[in-house]
Amino acid sequence: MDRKGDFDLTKEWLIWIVRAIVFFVVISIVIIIIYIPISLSYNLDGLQHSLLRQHLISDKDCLAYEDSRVYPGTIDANKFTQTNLGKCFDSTRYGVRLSLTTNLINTLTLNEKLAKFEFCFDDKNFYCTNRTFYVLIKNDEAEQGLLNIEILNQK
Amino acid sequence: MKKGQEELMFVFSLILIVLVLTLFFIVVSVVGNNRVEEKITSMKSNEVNIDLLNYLKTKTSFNDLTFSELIAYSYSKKDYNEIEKLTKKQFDKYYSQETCNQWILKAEVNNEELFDSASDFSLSSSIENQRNPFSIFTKKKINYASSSAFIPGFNSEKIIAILILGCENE
Repeated sequence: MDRKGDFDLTKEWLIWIVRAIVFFVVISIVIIIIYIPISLSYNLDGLQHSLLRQHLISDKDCLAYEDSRVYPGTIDANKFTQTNLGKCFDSTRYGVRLSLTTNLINTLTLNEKLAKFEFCFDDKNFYCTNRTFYVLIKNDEAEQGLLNIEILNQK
Repeated sequence: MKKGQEELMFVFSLILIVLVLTLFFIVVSVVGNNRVEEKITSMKSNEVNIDLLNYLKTKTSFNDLTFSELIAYSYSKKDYNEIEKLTKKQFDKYYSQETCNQWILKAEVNNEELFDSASDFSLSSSIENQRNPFSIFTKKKINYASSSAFIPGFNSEKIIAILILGCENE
């Protein structure tokens, strides 16, 4: 056996291992730097649901009470009808269920075809939110109540 | 270098290339599968405005004052027992059974806290709970949002009412 040859081979082998590690580290850093901006995604589902809820509550064409001015957050009980909300919420992408609770519970569903809230367990395919607001309700007199808004859309 | 050593070197080089390529693909797949998701939550704090404004406009049982008037009155008298009691009663009545069952309501003047009232399940304990390693086994996730409103005091002081609301599944 050639002892010097053995030593050269081991030395060369070690140098190659170090080179491979450096190469691997550099390539990994480059991949991470390139991939992070590419894989960045914005989840807008929550934001869209939030905007829709605010639209339903604060828009005078939806539920907001109005006399000489609009009272965002104060619900006009006379506007809580299927016809009125069907007009103000003209979207086929979202299923919505609204429950207005005072002494009675009044529930309305918009886009009934999509409003299948029993599928909300499937969070890979459906995005669901459920938010309850404390609201003042103007009927003949001011009442306190809760407005629950459930929204569902397909991802 | 002898011929036998060259062949050995060639085999080692091949093993090294295969190793580097394997690690390369592992890094690509791991980094590629971890999508960085940015959630936009600032709009959600606007929704708490609705809860806060409705609370401030609600009439209390105390001399038929609204909560905003009662805060100003309590500040003028420097007595916050009634407002704390009525606020807790009001929020517990409407929020305890609902999705937004964690809340803190406080008032400040010039960064000095006047009073605060909170749900029994406090904000601090729930944050600790979220950090609990066992919480990954539960689907319960609380999102917090806050809102504030100015209330004019009887001597034109700027009283700030702040509501922090924690909601599930929002």
